[in-house]
Amino acid sequence: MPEVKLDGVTKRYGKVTAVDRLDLVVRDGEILTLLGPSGCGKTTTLRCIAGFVVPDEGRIFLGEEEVTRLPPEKRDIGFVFQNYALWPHMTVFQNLAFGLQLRRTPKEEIGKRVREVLSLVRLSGMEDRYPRQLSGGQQQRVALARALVLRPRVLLLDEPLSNLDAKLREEMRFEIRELQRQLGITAIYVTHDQAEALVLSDRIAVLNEGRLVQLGTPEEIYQRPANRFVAGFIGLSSFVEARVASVEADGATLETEDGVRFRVPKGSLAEGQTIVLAIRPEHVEILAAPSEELENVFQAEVLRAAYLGNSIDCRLRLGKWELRTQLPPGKIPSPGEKLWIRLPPEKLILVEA
Amino acid sequence: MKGLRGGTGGFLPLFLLLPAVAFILVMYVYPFALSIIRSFTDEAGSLSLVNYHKAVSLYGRDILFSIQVAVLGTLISTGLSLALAAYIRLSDSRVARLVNSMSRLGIFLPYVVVAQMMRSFLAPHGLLNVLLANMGLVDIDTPLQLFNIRGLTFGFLWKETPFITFIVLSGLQVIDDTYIEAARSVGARTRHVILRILLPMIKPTIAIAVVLTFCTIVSTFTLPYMIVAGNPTTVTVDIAHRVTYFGDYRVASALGVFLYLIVGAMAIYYLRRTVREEVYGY
Repeated sequence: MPEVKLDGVTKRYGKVTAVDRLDLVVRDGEILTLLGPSGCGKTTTLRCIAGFVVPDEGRIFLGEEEVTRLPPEKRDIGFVFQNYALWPHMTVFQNLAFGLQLRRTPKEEIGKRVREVLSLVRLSGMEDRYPRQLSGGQQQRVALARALVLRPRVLLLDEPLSNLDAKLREEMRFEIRELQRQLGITAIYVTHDQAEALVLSDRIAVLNEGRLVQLGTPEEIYQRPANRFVAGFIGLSSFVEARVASVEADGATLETEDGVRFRVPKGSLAEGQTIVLAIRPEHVEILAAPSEELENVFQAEVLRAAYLGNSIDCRLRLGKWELRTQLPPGKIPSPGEKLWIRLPPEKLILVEA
Repeated sequence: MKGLRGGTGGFLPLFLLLPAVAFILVMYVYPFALSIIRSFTDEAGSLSLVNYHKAVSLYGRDILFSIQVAVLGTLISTGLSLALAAYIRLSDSRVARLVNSMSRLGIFLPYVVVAQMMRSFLAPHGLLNVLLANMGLVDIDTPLQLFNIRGLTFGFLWKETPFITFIVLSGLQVIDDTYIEAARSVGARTRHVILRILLPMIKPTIAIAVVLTFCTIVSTFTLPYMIVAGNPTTVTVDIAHRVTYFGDYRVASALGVFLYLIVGAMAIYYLRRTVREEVYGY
């Protein structure tokens, strides 16, 4: 399977720049997710790769071949649409066989390949059904099968799970991941659902306003977000703005404008620098009593708490800042209650202000 | 609520429906029934097939001519419309947008205006022959004779093609782009997209457009009356001729029944298609 390379791809719609000088390499056999909020340019990027949209600038390569202006029917790319786009007048078999017929594949071969791929997506025996006779999940599998039956060079998936209910969506994430691994196909997946991106991807490309903000493995993106946008978009984060008050050999001290002081690893901080602390809910530790031996221990006030079944979502006030944490199920704290919390220095994420 | 559902005020809905029902009864059902009865009645008022015998012997050729014009006009205008609608749907060019706007003009012109236009356009020394003569394609002393089936079909094409295009295009525009993109992503070229995806997806719409066009052509009087000189002509002209010059409503009614049968067959097909679409969604 070839790698996919985007070299300075730009697409404008009137005065709006949907994709802005995007450089990206999708490695052979990996599944890369384009992740970002609505309007960030992820679908436009995918459509440029598929050939449905021609970029205004830049080049797109599939392996060694430049395909920037090649029409979609000549790209040998499989595409799974958000609405599945199964042709309603064709049966499942006909939907899958259409592309093979266009390639003048012999009848026996078509039958064999359609059956193979239907068995792969666990839809054997559904050949004669029409799309309207299938459930949403089954339609989604047929759409995937239709893209795979042609053995394309690259598989593109545009929010394929967004029309499914939450439970099915969760199941399908793993199925798509498993299939992609099994076939070793290079895949690009578009979603705005961070959980989906974290589960599915070898690497994630976070886009915002048409630009690539960060590219990395799910762990890298989650644990070391490049900026405040990524920290806020991937996972939950509370943000605290602070100034570097002092830098010592064993760490640095940050101070907020309302006098809250944090110890953090030194890193490459310089005195006087303004920085943003991103604090994940799971990194807020609740202490039974204050401890003088530990760093970053604070007394916080409960603003509100909500029962979530397997945890309690709790908003705390620390100085003028609001922190979010998740407590184990048990007694739900009341607003105004005081809690001792600890923010382990090594868990605090520092991003540019 | 009780009254509306047919309780003590059960007559109110019927009363409200009365004007519409009366209108249909007086303006459609009564003349329709009367013409059928008349067609089976001889001069003495007895039941007879003499009017049908006369209609077939005098106008059999015209009945076939009417069907021929309707089939030809419907087929050609449908073919042209499908090509035009597909082009407008798939192309984003200025030409396509211009064709789209222009293709709608003909819908709003009444047949009598079209007929008058066609008379001057298709005449032996009309615009078409003069243009062709200037291009060296026709000798102006022996111009194309178009006041016959060719001219009549051309007139129907001019009038009906925009109508079918409009209906077909409405059907095509409802189809989401992703169906087209899905086809292209599996290797379909434009012709495959049109013939294998778009047109099959709007088959019911096309069928309805074809039925409506066929019925319009069969029942139009003005265009054949003003275009076709002499024999053969269409049944609608024959009916007018029979009434105007002979005051013979019985044979005219028999001819009318032939039209009912032709149009009725198509109407049944149309209704069955519509019901199937509403019930089963295809």
